[in-house]
Formats: sequence, structure tokens, C-alpha cells
Amino acid sequence: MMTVMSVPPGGVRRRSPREAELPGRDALATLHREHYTSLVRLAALVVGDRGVAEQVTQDAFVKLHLRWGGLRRLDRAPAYLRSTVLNGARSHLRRRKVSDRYDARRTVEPAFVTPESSALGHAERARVMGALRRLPERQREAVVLRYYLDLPEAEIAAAMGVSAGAVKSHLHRGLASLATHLGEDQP
Amino acid sequence: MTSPTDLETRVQAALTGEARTVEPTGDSLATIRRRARAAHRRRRTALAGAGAAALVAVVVAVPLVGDDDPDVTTRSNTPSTSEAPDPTTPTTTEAPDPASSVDAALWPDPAGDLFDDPVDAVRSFVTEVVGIDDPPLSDYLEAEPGAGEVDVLPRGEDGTVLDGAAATVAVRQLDGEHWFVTAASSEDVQIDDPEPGAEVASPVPVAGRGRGFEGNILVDLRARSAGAGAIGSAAPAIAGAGQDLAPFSVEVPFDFSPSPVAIVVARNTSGADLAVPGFSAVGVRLAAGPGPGTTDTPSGTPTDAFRYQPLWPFASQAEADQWLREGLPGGHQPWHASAEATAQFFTQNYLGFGEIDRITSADVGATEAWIGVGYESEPGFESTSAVVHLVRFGSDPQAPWEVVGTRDTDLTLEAPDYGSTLSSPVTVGGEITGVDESLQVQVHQISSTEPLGTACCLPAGGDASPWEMTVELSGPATDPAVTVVVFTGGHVQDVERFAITGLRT
Repeated sequence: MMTVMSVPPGGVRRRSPREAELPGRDALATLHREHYTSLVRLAALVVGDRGVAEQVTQDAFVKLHLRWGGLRRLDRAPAYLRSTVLNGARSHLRRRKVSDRYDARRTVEPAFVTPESSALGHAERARVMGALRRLPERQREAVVLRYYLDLPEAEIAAAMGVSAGAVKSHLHRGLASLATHLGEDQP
Repeated sequence: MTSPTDLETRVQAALTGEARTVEPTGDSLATIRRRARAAHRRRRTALAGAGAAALVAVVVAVPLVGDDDPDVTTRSNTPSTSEAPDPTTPTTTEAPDPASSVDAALWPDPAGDLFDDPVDAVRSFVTEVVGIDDPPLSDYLEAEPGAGEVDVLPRGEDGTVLDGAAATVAVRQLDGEHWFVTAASSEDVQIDDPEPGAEVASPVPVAGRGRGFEGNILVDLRARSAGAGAIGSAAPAIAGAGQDLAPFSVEVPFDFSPSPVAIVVARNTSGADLAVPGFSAVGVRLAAGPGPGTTDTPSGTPTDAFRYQPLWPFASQAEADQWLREGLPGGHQPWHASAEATAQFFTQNYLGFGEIDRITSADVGATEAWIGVGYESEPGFESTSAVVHLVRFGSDPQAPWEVVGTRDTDLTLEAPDYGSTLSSPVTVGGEITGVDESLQVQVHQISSTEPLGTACCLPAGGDASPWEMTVELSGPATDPAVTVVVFTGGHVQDVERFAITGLRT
């Protein structure tokens, strides 16, 4: 589960300008220590590229830094970061969709399946990840948030910016597609 | 929660195992800090630029605001109103005093109610000047003592506040005590001309770059006085409909202003009711112009400033003007006066979707309308096939309605860009959410009884899945604009959903 940041005395609604402009080094370092790796991994599972994942995660931290004064509650920082990372991942996928369409020379699969992983006997994981990669973007996000981060539906909905009902639908459809691709009975 | 199924266990194990193979680089915190510092520096530079622009505006404004002694360096804080300004007075490069500085304010009027809180000043500006009800705002972010900015946050179709900034509003304590809006800017809409503080006369040429839904950019001239509202509006301009900014240029006629200072506001549209538009604003000074009732573009006369693609029923402004002259009141084809009827006839008669036989929603404004058209999907239940976007073809309040596009959600037509030039073959694409869909595309022009081109039938489905089809035209398009329509159906009736875009020829 996510670690909740403590709220400083006096609240955070209207801090002094200096505080509003720059988060304390400790607060940023704490957020980074507790959430950076899991956010990079979340982004990597969505976009399938570690370098891009790290980039969008760093972007999210920089945005948080810039909007430190606009964050109404400090304990919302992890949720803000998660949502921003997903937005960044989504933007990257949209750009990649366009470039893929027009770049016929592209031959390298941005896949999770690598020769190394197969050679190391990770065929099962590669198979599941391959099926996951075939899901529509939103379904993949919902599945990753549910089964990697173990988030409840309400938090998935907040991260994706959709209703809880839409999350249920994305999860149901996503699992159904995975079952089909993996030759399992539907859950 | 029920115990996980085998599939869920497999997925969880695969995701966890895959995630463990991803190890971030070791210097990421230092990289974030370095990038954040650079970003803060850029923001400060931008704010300093806005402040400089405000000072330039003051210098330009000096001969116009009544200070007739350029050698006076210590001025009263009470603005003089007893002496007429001397337009021959040379400008000064001296630092402005507080009384002069407040004249550089976009908002509020220094003679009216003032604000002790920067966010309150921005809220008043965004509500009264830009016209956004209950705007979601960030907290105040200080850049230097007495100056900073507030973001206007974007909002989704359902009213949810989203990440990012629709626009950023700069505020400054121009009199050393109260807060004034000095600039407003957006990544989506930029005003290049007029420059802040420029003296302008009617019609005011406004140029810039922008992007938005169907490329629409709306430009108003607003008086800098509470409750004065718009003193002039331009016909909608067309800029970029995609991700790229595209230039726009309009002229804003005005008649009379209660204030010598006015605000040019340019904003985009999203096609959604609750969304917050991107906007920019600059302050201008109004030169002595025509008095009330002597405007160059008298009310009631059609103009040729239509900036959308005229899709149906009129192919040109002249045709619309002719109906306005001869058709009113209630004479020839009175349905042109009804947005609902125009949308319905467009769907059934022009596109040929006879089964889409009812209006499911209507949002009709003075110059713009959004009409839902649909069908009875099961007894007692209506489904909306599309929301048709219409605008009045001309500036007259009774100008006829013209179809210019659709507001699309689960079936979109995004390529080619709205307003781009038609060529054959034309590759058409967008996204679709649905199950077992079969997409067809047609290209129509008003003067042809048959489609100029058709493409059939592309199996599609999924969740926001991209689709793409190529249409070969049977002959050249001769009308100024064509309608490209994509439609799908087959579950309940032949055509259940459609989306359109307009291309020029």
C-alpha cells in the first residue's frame, strides 16, 4: 500500500511563498524514496519501455515540484504523482501510435518479450505480458493498477480520471480478453 | 473480495515479476531537482517578461491617461480627471509610480472594487471577463514579492478537475497593496497582435496562433469595468484542429465602450459544456471611435466572416444572406430558423440516415447550437447517434443555422484535420469504442445527389481503438466544402452512430 505523507502543522492550503514555491528537500526525497521506483515500474508496464517510463516519472515529479503550492493536501502527493505518470504514459502511447502509423521501417518490437527472458525460462511471464500488451490502453492501465499496485477500484478510478463503473468495465473486459488470449476460461 | 482466479494469479505474478526487472537509474533524484530548478527559472523569466510588458504598456499609456507633466517624478496617488489628456505629450522612460502602474492592469478597473487576495482577483477576472463559471483555480504561486501567478485548471466533460493548466494568469500588486491581473496566457491560444497597451480603433485586428475543437478560436473585446461585458465580438476564427498551433486572424468591431481600456480575450472551445477553455488576454487602449449607433458593421447586416466549413444547407455566405433577405419572416423554408430542424434534416435528408428520426437533446445558444439526433433503441429508450454542431451563418441574430461539425465521443473522425484541403484518395481515421462495429465512410457535397466517394466496410471495435479507411473520389469536388461522414450500425438498425468533419476544396 501507499505510504501517506504526514501533513505539516498549520496545514498546506496557504503556506508562505517560499514554502509554496519550493518543497523541502526532505519531503521531495521522501516522496522519491517511497514512490519513484514503483511509479517507474508502473509506467514501464503501461508503455513497455524503461527509458520512457523513467522520463514520464521524472516529468511527474518536476510537475509536482512546480505545483507544490497548488497541492491542497500533501498526503495527496502520491495520488497526484500516479495520475500524472499515467497521463504521461498515455501521451507517449498516443505519440507512438502516430509515429508507428507512419514509420513503416520500424522493426523493433517495443515488447516485454526479449530473447533474454525467453532464454531464462520466463516464457509464462512473456506470454502474459504479450497478451497484456495487446489490450486497449485503458484496459491495460486498469489491469496494471489493479494487479500490480493492488489498488481498490476507487483509487484506480481517481488515477485514470474515470468513474468506478468504468473501472469495473475496463477490468472485466481486460480480463476477458486476457483469458481469450491465454486460453483460459473467463473469470 | 473473492479469492483470485487462476487467471488473476497469473496476471499478478507476471506483472510483479516483470516490474522487478525494471530498475531505475541511480541519479534520478538529482536529475529531478536539476530539472525542477530549471523549470522554476523559466517560470520566473516568463513572469518577468509579463511584468516588463506591463511596464511597456504604462509607458505607452502615459500620454493617454492625463499626466500632462512629464517632468513630474513624484505624483499624487489620486488620478487626475479634471484635465483633458494631451496627445502631443512626449512619452517618458521614468519608472512609473503606483498611480500610473494601475492603469496597466488588465483587471480589475482601478476605480472599482479592488482585491486583497490574488486568487480572488483571478477568480473575478476569469468569471467576469473570460466567462467561465466557477473556475477551478490553483493556489497562488509567488515568483517574487508582490507578483506571481495562478493557474486556471482544466476540467473534463463531467466536471472533474484535471491535471495541468488551461491558462496561467499573472497577478501583481501594482499599487503596492491590491492585486491586479496583468497578463493571461495559454499553451493553446496565443495573441501576437495587438501588443499589450496598444491603442486600437474599430475594427480591432487580432492575430495569433491557437488550437482547439474544430480549430475554433473565439475572440471578444471586453470593457475593463465590472458588468460591462463584451463590447465587440469577432466571428469564430479557425486555427489548428489537431495538436499543432495554427495561425488565426480576425477583426473585432466595437461600437461604444464605457471604459477607455479594453481587454482582448481569445479562447478555444472543447465541444464540452463543463470544460475550461484555454485563453489568453491582452489589454488595449481604445482610440476615440465612432459613437453609439455608427458602427462600421451595423447589426442586422450579414457579413462574409464565416470561418467554419459551411457543410449544409448553405454552400456560401451569399446563399445564407439571400435566405435572410427573402425567407424571413416565416416565408421560404422557415425551418432554417430552427437549429433542431436543420440538424434533423441534415441527418435524414442530406446524409440519408432516415432511421435517425428524433431529437434527443438540444443546447441552443444565440449563435451556436448542439443538437443530439438519435433513434429509439428499445421501447421507451432513446439512443443518441451524434451531437450536431451548428452556428448561425452570419452576424444577424436571425441568420439561418448551418451545420459545421459534430461533437464526438465514442466514434471520432480526427483525420484529416477539420478545414484541411480535400484530395483524392483521402485517408480518413479516428477512434472507436464498441463491439462488432462495421465502419463506412462517405464524402458528400451539397450540389451532388450521390456521395463523391464511399468506403465500406471496416470491422472495428474495442476501447478507443484507432481506425483508418481510404476513400477514392469519383470526381472533383466543386463546392467550397465537403462533408466526410463515418458511420456504423447493424445491431439495432443500419446506422446507429455517426461523426462528421468538414474539408475545404
